[in-house]
Amino acid sequence: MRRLLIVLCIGLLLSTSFVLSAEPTIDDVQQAFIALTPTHADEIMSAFSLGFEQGRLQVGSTLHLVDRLIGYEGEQGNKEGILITIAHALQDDLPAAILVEKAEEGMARSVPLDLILNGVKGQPRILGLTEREYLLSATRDTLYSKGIFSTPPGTKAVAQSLSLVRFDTLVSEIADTLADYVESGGSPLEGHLLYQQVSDRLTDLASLKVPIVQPDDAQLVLERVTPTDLTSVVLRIFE
Amino acid sequence: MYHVQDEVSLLRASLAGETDAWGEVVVRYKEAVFGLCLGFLRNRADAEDLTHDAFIRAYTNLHRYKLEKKFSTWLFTVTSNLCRNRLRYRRYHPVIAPPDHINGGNDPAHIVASEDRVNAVRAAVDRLPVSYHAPLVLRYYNELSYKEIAEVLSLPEGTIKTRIHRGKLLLKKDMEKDGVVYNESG
Amino acid sequence: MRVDNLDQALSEALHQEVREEVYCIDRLEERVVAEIEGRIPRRGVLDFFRRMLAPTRGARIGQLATVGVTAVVFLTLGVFLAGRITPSHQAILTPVMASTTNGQNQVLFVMPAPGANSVSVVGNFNGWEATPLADENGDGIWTASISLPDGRYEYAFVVDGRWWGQDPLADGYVHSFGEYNSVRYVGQVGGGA
Repeated sequence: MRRLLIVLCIGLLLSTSFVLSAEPTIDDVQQAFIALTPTHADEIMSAFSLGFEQGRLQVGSTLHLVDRLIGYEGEQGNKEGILITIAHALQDDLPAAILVEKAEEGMARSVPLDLILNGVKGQPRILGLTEREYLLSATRDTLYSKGIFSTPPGTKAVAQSLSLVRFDTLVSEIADTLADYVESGGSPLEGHLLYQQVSDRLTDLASLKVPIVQPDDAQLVLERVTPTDLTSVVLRIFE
Repeated sequence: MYHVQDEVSLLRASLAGETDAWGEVVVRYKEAVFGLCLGFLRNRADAEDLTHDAFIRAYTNLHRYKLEKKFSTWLFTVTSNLCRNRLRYRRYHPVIAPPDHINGGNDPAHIVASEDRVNAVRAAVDRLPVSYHAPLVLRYYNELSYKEIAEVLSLPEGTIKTRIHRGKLLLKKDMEKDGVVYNESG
Repeated sequence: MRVDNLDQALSEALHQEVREEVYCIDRLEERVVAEIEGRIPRRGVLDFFRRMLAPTRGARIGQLATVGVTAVVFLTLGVFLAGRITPSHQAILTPVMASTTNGQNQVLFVMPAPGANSVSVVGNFNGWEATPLADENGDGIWTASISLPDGRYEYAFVVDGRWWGQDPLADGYVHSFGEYNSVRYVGQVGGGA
């Protein structure tokens, strides 16, 4: 009888600790997608799975986002739109984490969902996820055109190719800098100002004790990307 | 140089950095990719741009393609994602009159007697909502199976079938207005 | 006009469209290859090897590989040496910021808000969820110490439900959603956190 009691207690403790220490899993994320958007869950899940594999997104923060979206007041279409935009960014091989962050920030600030997704053109200018995704894409294409790109291990070693993480960081930080510039009311035609902001951002990140941007990478970008390049990228937002 | 070369060797060579091999891949697939872009975007200049971009994107992401899977499906996936991005960007920045529009506008009066049927279809496809373009083009131009289309567009097969069915219904209804009537078998 | 088969008509229509426009991709393969090759920096020495010393493709690949490996070795050496030569700084601790352990920095957030009922900090370090500040001695200065790895962080304070985006201790400010966010760089060499 006592032995049975001991076994039961141990079992209870073990199961409790198991529940308490349960990390969110990909299945949890999938369930959350299905709960939010049964029709689009498959498409979104396949894109996000890729993102998890690549280390571009984390399961925990994704689940946090979806749970927040589920509980947030707003149209279903906009909730789906936010997830679909992030999914498309991942499918387009872009570092989508900043989009997740911005969606979280918008909801923390009680911003209407369609504003989070589509932004607003007035004063002050607000960029939505759609435009931020464009900035990521245009930044990536600009870096490519300057011979700065990533090739993962296993492919032919090419001088000046970066790891995916390093390349993603450049794309993310440059695109975010451009977004900040636009939202602060800067003119896209002041290429030298854009360039200065990008330079400041990359240099600041390169000079941390554990650099977020490698100094060599910052230098590479600043040598090859010109103020005109940055103006071209930003101008399209103003069209 | 690569006369009779099976696709896998071409792709392996491309992965190893042999750009000539990739050039040969482009030759083999460019019309199919262009057709998809044109059907999707309804605009020659955009289609031309995106066909070029698709082959660049595919090359830089070739490491992500699994050799045992069908290459064309993967290539079409890369292409359709690019097209989708362009469309979403266009949605936010609408162009009132797309340049080089392949069917010269939506005026049904343009239907010329001798090419009534084909022109009527082309104009009607233009007027279809965007989400129907890709499945229809993949089915009736690229001639993919429903399963392959589902893979390319990352949508369930059921959704693909529904979209194609509805798309055709809409086309029929639209063309009936111009006096072009299809039998049920179509 | 009655016609029989929409499927056939669709196929014909789409094929005709392509036939009419396909001229524009006439030498696309050349343009694509040119762009790809433009991306891979061609050093004169590679071309020399290619044209002069290696008539067969196999040998050319072998020689390209040798050059490639040598380039990688030198690049690695260069990066390694550069890392060594860069002078290291002593971290100067300011009275406001505490020290680093295990690559984590203790970052102090301070918000003067006398009479407030609740103060929190919200930022991109925790998915924009509120972390509460505390005013233990009741002097109206609310604080919280958060452990963060090196990086760039955006945040704002929320005082009794009102957002305050301009922290005097911040390294800078940005606009976001029409309001201000404060920015801090954590892990700066030479002080600050």
